[in-house]
Amino acid sequence: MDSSSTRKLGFFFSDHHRWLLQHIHKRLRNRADAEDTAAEAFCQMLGARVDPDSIEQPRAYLSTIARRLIFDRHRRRQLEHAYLERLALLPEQVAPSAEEQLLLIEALLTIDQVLDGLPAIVKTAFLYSQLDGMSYVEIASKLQLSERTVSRYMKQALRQCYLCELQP
Amino acid sequence: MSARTLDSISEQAIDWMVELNTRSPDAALLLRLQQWLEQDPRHQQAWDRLQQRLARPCAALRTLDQRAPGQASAARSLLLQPTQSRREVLRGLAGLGLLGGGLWAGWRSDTAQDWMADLHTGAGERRSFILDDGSRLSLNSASAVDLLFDAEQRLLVLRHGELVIQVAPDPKRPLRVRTAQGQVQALGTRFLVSQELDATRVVVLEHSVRASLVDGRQLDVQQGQAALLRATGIEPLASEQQQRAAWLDGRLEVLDEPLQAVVDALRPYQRGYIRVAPDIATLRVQGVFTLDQPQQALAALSEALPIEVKRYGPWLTLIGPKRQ
Repeated sequence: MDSSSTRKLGFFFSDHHRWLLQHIHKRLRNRADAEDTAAEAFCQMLGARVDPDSIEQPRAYLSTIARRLIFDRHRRRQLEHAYLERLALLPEQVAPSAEEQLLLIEALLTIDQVLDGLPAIVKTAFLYSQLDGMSYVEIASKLQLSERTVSRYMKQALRQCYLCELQP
Repeated sequence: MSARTLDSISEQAIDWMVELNTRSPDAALLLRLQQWLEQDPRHQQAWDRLQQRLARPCAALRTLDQRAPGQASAARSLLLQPTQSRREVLRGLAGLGLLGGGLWAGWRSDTAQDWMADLHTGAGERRSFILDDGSRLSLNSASAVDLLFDAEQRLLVLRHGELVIQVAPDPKRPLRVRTAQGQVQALGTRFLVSQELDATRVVVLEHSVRASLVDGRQLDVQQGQAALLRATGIEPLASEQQQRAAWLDGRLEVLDEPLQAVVDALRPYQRGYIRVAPDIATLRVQGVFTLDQPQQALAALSEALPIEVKRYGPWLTLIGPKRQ
């Protein structure tokens, strides 16, 4: 991105930052989280190379991004919490180290984000294959689908992998 | 999103991936895949993207399953738990106008709870307190402590952040600092306790302390020594740690630490967000920095290291590798 459009985004944000922060703060009731979320919103615009001049309604635009980020935060924490609880039940000899736990949670969150929005059956088929290591034949019989359909679902899930924009 | 179409190279990469999973791959198939990858650098890029976004995270979860069977399917059921997708939420929220309080009730961060702690400091703030018993407590930036003093005990609960305490002697009431991992009992003394991500750091500045974990395991730590309390055990630290108390004088002293750790130490002093690119996070750093001027500290770092610090207004700083 050339520096002039980065600068334009900088101006855009200094114009709207105070409003956005208040807007998020009302929802999160927590200053630090609100600041993080506002900054993330900017990171996303930066990453997506958005031209501020093309935004007709900045507040509506920003509050849409913010809403999604707030939801993501919530979903992430829920998942992370539930997974850590699972891991805590493991006997000590096999329990992952703190470092491993971080990697595992990151992995879980990445998969969740990539598969977000896919139909449940597509997700299920995909996870049976990738996490449980089941063959397409096994998945087909388990979900009572044809093998062709299983392949089609796999492609749908993989396609999403290219189409979704992961947050940094 | 689903209406968007993919370029043909991505489609090919997907076909390869599906073919690889359909049957157990034989040598001939793998050879053809290798040829496809080598044909064009864009093939390799498309393949890498699939690996990074799905294959690698899935493999990480499966690795644990080999050691502790059942973990991969546990992860699967978590991922399949019914949830609204982001898009549904956007639609739903647009109708509501704002989020109900109940939905978020269980979700409050440390910072929100700080305001209910007995003693706390904000970002960039350091404070010292004289406690009722005469002990002197100093809190580093963005720290919070609860005090439970009665006839039998003097208990400080470090919710998060970092403290140094100079303990006033009282043979009848032991003074203890409790953290997420365990507790540190003063044996007549001055020491530092820092709540880190998944560990508690103890540095003894004078005399000694007894550190113990929730499960009762304990270790006496002498003057000049330091230890990390983790859920798995207490690790004595061999390296010099006394400099960690330099924040009392407004300084950050770094003997030999990764860049990420230095940025983490500056973070409580800086409003807004600092992001360090992963490929430079492990660069080693030495030096003395002024805590109250984190911008100056970052500027000094960017002169000493092959990094570039970009500020986007007061609330966002990105640190990346220096471009040639």
